[in-house]
Amino acid sequence: MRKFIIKCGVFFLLVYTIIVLLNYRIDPANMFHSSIVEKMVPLLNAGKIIESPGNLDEGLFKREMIKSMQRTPETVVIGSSHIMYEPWPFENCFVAGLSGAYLGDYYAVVGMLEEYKSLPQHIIIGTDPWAFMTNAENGRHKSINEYALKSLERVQGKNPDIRGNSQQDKFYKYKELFSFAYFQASFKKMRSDGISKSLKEDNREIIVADNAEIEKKQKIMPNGRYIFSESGLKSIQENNNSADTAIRIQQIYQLGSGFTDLQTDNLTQFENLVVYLKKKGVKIDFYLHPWYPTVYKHFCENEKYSGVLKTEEYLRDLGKKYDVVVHGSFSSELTGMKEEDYADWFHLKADKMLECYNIILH
Amino acid sequence: MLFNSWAFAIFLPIVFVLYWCLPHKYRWGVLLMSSYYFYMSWNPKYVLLIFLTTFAAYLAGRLLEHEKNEGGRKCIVAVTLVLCLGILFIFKYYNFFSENLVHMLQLVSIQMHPITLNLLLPVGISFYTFQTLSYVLDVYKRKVPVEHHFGIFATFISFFPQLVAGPIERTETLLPQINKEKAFSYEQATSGLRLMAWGFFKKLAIADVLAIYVDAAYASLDKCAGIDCLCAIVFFTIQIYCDFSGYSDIAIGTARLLGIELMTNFRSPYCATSVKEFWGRWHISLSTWFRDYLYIPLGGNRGSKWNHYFNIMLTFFVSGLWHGANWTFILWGGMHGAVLVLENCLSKCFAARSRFSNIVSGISVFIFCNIAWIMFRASSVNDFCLIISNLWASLGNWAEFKKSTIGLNASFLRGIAWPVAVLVIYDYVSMKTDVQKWLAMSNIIIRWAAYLAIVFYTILKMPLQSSSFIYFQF
Repeated sequence: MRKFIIKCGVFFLLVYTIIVLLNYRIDPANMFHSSIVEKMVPLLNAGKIIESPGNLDEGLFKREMIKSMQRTPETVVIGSSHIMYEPWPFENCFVAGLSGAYLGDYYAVVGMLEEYKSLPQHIIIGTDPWAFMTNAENGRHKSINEYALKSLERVQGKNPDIRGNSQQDKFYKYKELFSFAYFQASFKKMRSDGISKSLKEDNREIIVADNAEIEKKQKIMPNGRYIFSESGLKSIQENNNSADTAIRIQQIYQLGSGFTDLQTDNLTQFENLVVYLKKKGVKIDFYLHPWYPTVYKHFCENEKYSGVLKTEEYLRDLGKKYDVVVHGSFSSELTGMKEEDYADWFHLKADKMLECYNIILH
Repeated sequence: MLFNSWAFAIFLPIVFVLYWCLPHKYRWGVLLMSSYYFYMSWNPKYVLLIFLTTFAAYLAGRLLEHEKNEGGRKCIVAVTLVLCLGILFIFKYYNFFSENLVHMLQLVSIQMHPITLNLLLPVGISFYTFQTLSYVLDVYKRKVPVEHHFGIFATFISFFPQLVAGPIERTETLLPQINKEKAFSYEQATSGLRLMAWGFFKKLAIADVLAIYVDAAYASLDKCAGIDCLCAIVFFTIQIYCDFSGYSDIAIGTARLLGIELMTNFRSPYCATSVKEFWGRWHISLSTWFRDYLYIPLGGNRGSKWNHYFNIMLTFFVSGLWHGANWTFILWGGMHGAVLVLENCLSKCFAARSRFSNIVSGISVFIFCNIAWIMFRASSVNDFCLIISNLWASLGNWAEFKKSTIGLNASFLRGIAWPVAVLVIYDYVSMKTDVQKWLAMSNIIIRWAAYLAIVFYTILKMPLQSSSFIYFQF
């Protein structure tokens, strides 16, 4: 039996050593090589435009950007990728968007802004319906979760669980070393970049772009705004196919196979955040990004996705209650957006995003 | 607790170490406690059902031992059957029968509302009930001795590797193994791990990957046509095989780690050249159960040919019903029964078989299985008709046929082709040789390379949210 246990142990160790080593070395989300963020931030602060280094821990990146701010921005935009590409028409504006941001991530960004004394006079919250789904309060970007908890503490008073959770979340990234999901991502990256390139340290060098045009690679502007890559702009046919597939396989981004009810706890937390910011003298705007026409039609016709319409109704009511202007709409019809206005089935083209922001429905 | 969960990955080594470290007289206790814990991790309340079934069968065994009168013995068996099957009926079939009775009454203009029960179907209830019944019936026929030790008997009924989805073990094979003192066997344990690895590969790298596509197709049947229909049908045929045989391999492998041999449940079923042969290769523990406890007692192939055909049809209808309380399952059983009857009728015409006719028969059986699995997977007979008509309607137009609307693409097909090719080769070769044994005998470098390849491939390909096993619902 000893021989069996030893052999099993050796095999298990061998498998896990390979997993941990690859996860650490390839590190698809750059979690263990924060140097990449450290290299990016000074370049952006110096006004350079850089090429986005693919998989990036956006939470850490935004934290470093906020931490190193020379002066407090006048406007900060919070939300998901729905606000990340928009050419915001404000002087001294910082785009703090995080892909697929949940309510917890809104809290995290506010937490970081307060922590590093950068709370602006004006915050635009690009609210998405999934921000009010179950567990949305936990946030999606684990690396900045502690700021969400601190922020919650400030908004709602002490929470006895916060310290424990915060401690746990400090170790989250080490869990990823052992994660099969992270291993799959590492392997995928290794396949796409080639073994030798993905294992080389200089693979993590930052490339400075000389313009803000749409080119091969996605770019990041000094104010945190992203520029679409060429491959990010799809044809109408591709977008229609992708939207149809998402509807058919019932995987409509974060909404998955359905979203019917808004979580009361999340609504309360969101309202508390708005009230807190208003008390701090911050002017707030909501921005609703319109969904792709066929997808929005699907939401209107299917009870399973009625939460999307309820979210808009809720946000408009909340806007009235606290004197917050609601820009845009989830409805492509109301905002007049057509298939050709979309970069992909999920995002408007940058100029159309701005056009939508300027639409205020009454 | 699923085999493909972290909970099981922690649970099994603990049970393994405890089991082998303790003296033989305590081992049944480890197995019993771990089995009940395993089951309770799904739903603690329902462990009472297993306990009740176990107690009833144990009591029946003891009473049968002392009862000499044949009438009394029959009475004991009848009461036990009513009790065990009654529990199964209430939890699994009551609503189905109630609703169908109301429908039938409506046909003769009697209006009634069905009285239904809101009960959760206990996982594996059909499996452990059938294992219990086989014990009672074997004791009645004096084929096996009565087990006096309640703890050991309860371990036999609830043995966790095969508790929720089989194989349905026989008393004469499993009970003596629990009773018998054994020494740890390195060869047996390693062969168990090998089989588990193969089972996980089938479940996670094939069945779960295909499930994503199959579920999407069956969720939108009204829009599913052409290549999507065809792929959904073929993929489900592969999925259910990999899912269920994967579970069986993991169960058999787990039992081997504990020094217990369970029966083989699958033997390359899609290589069968007749439906009769298919049932000798698919879910063998269930098909032999029905053969021994239903088909043969009904008269089997004795008597007139019409009696024989009736016995086949009845056995297959009941087998279909065993899978679930839905007409689709009953009709699925009926389809297999009907083809088996047809095979019997035509058997004299095809007595001598050439290699070519075997290939043609094999392909025909595989196509038939695909069609029958549609009935099995569809949620209603209407859905079955819909998928067949959608497929049929799109056959004429190749441009339309090849257009996928559920996300089928070349990269998905390439991705799944490799593991399926490995599966086909494995199944084909294993008809002639024991692949696992061959691997065990091969050079250490080849062996470890094979182990690492299968483990890493499974880790890399498995969907991040693994689904439950299909046969858990039965």
